[in-house]
Amino acid sequence: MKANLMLLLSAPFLVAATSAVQAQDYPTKNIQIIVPYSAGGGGDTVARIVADRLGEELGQQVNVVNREGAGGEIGIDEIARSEADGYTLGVFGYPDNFVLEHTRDTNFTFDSFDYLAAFDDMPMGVFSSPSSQHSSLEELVSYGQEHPGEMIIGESGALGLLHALAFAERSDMQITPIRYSGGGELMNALLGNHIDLASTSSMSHDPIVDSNGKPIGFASEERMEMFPDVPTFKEQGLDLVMGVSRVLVAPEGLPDDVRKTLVDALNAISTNEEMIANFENAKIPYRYLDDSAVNETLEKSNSVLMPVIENNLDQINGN
Amino acid sequence: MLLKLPVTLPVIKVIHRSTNVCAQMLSNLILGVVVLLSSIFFYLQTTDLPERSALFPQFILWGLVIVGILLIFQALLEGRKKVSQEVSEARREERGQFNDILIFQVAVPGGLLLVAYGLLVSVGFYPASTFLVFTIYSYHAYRIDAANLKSALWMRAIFFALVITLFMYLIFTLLLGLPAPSGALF
Amino acid sequence: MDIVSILLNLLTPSVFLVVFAGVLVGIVVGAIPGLNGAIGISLLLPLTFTMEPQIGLLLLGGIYMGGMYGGSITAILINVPGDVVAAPVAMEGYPLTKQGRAKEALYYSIFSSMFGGFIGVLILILFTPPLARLALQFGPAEMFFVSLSGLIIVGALSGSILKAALAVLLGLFISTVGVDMITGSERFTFDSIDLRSGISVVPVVLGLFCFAEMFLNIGKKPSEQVQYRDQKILRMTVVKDILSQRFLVWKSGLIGTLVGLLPGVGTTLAVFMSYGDAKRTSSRDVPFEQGNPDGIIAAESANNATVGSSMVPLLALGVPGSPTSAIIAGALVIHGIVLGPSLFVNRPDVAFTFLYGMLLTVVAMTIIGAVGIKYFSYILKIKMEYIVPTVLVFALFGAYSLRNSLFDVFIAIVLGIAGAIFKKIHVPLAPIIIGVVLGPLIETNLARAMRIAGARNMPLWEYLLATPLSKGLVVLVVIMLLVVIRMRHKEKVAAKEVNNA
Repeated sequence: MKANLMLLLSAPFLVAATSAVQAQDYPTKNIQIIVPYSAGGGGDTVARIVADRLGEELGQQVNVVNREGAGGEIGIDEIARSEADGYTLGVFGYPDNFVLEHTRDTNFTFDSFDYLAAFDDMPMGVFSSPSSQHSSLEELVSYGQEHPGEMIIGESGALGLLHALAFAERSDMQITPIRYSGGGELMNALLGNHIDLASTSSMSHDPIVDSNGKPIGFASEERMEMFPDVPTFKEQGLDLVMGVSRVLVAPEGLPDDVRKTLVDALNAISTNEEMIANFENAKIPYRYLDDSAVNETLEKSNSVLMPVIENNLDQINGN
Repeated sequence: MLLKLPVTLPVIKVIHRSTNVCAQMLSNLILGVVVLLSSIFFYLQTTDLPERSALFPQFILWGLVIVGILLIFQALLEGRKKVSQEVSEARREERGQFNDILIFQVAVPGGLLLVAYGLLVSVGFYPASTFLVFTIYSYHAYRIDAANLKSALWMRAIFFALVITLFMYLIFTLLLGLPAPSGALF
Repeated sequence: MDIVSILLNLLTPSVFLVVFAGVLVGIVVGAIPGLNGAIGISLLLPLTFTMEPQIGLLLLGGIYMGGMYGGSITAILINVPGDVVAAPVAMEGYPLTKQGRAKEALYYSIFSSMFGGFIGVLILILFTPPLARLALQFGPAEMFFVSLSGLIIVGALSGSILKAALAVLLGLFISTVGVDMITGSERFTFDSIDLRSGISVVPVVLGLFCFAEMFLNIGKKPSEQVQYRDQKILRMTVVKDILSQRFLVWKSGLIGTLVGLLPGVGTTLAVFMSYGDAKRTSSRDVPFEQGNPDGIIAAESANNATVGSSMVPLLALGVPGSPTSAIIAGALVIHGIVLGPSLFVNRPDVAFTFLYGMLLTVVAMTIIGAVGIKYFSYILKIKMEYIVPTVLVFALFGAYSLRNSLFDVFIAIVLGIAGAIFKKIHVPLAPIIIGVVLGPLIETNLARAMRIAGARNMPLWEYLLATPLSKGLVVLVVIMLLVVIRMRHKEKVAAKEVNNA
């Protein structure tokens, strides 16, 4: 702020200097990162951490713009429609785009985006509210089977819904999903005991547990290093592995030099210790994939997810 | 305790309103018809929506239909009252004033703003802002007194337009680095 | 974070500078006929995008506070109340100006604003954190009733009931345009990509407040001669006199605070309630509407008290209490700050700096107001021909910069044209904005309530009234309805009297 005021006073004298800077190549102006979720959730947090570092690396301000709505569809669509000039990027949680593409009539496809990097690998999980009687999967499932449709599970996005439905399907329960516009709102609803369960990523673990909510399990292959006490669904006899990976994308068709500048900058910041510490503080399991690794990983994951989506298509559309 | 408080707000408003009843009658009628027709139009758009999405807008549109009908009724009732010649003359005059406002205070500046929007989309923000400041400044002076339109005024308008545009450029673009809509030229 | 370190955080030159600048801008835009604090805030919104969130917030908070006071300057000096809120001040203040006591009237106004502002901000500081802790109790049912109460106040306050209802419904309708958050289906988008993401609040505010207001200001002649004469009167004399009116200033401040707590445009209601109360209880032998300072004290302390308290629901529940706080919410969203209970957990630095910083805005307002009096008459001499085009281009830029969207600019222009027409045919504009703000809250919470009630096999009303909190809120809504009906009844009686006379 102080610096800004100084600038304000000296603005007239800076005109000449600034116009010299503008003669350079990309980036010559601010970059915006569109996040298709409301502020405060995991995708938003990742975008803001990355935006700070990327801004420093590129020497331009990188602004995060939240464009939430329709389970991420509005914002993801907007990223796809943006000009591929490197000034509009997007951060969203894969596989939200993939799930939306195959469950709704979207304007974008998987190939509408140029996947530049992935930053984390975070399993989904199910948490129960502080007032809930059930602290284990077994108790919860037996209650849910006796009271079909009565248990309410909150979710905040396409993947959250898919995870909730797959969770119900594989444990032979009927539960009622309810949509929230973002992770923060969902957490408040769970902690206020307005819903019974929440289908959200492992990142919400600490705030939920601090307020006496209970983790039922994570949909990961193995227990997470960060939360060794939380069992996986697999070890509780439920075959469910599903996770989110925040990817940084550009609309398809970036000019080669712009793409190279961006990829280089991303690779350069990927080892930044301060950034990795930020991820750890936010309880986001950091896993960097560069532009070639991310494409390979996502293609593989697409082929795993597709049957899950097809099995639940009726239910997703019914909601 | 709250219920006992005497409230004086209405008195001011009522005086204000009674002088305006006449021009309002016709405008209420038009308003009612516009509200009614457009809410029916929008209601028809909701029929293909899934029930859960259609519920809330339909509820609102029902409300608007009712408001539209009531506005029409109210205007017709007012209109049937017999009035003295004096009053009807006053009405005519007010209607004339009202039309003046529609043309000079709404249509012209609104039109200028839309032209500025066209410039914004085609050639960028700063030419559009120069245009807008220049025309609105001159138009304002013209509305006060048509005799104001002299060359001295044009010069002042151009100067002022350039100063404001430069000021915004310095603050928003150079200092804060906020993106301005850019067009072909800027 | 402890209070001491927050207070230390506050004591930086940049905070002081921003607060003073904000208040000064607020007073100036408040004093310029045709502008007000809400316009000032929407024009300076882009400036805050690059500031630290708490600094940007304090700038806007300062404008809000200063703007509330600034309106009284115009009312007192040239008898032009910027909006209905300033009408009582004009009724009592302008007669004093004509008696050559303008300075005295301005002193009454600034010091009453100071007391009112302090009460409102104290409530903000004391109430918000506990309410935020309670906020988790606000489920779909409670949020539904809170939002509904806002609509009722707004709708009932503004002129003809039919037109107020029209305005509220129109705002709600605007809020439904776009992709439905819950099902993902497109509503009223007519296959336009731009309409899919909906119509956001800030362009609506800029259109209805800035553009419409400026259109109607075109061609306005410069204000008449300002009759400000210097006068020998000590500030302390006025302060002592304000305090000697028994509980007047405290009572009015409290009325303003309580009414301001309810979402909606509570300011008008607060001002007229406390002005009416002062009329009833004043012990001065000066008749009202002929320059009774008690009227100024009551009205000004009430309106500045709403500044602090109208932010309580915004910060604690994420429900904006007034069009102004809706724009402030827009500024917070840019910085990725989530309003509601998590604010105090996740960003205590922002939350508490803002809460305590609002005290500074009161201090700044008092200093500028008490020292600057003789310069205020210059503000009134700024010519409209400079103001109108400047506000228009700044609004144009502001509409674009919130989402970098040309479509938003277009929406603002269209609503500006519509707003100017609405204003002329007496359709109130503030309820439209409140409708746009509260619409999504009402819809999503009602939809959730229906779904939960369905899952639990209970009727909707039973779920809605399940908790003591929601029952209490319903009682509150009913009481407000009664107050409003009573007001409207009085209005009718008064109208008859006027017509008979």
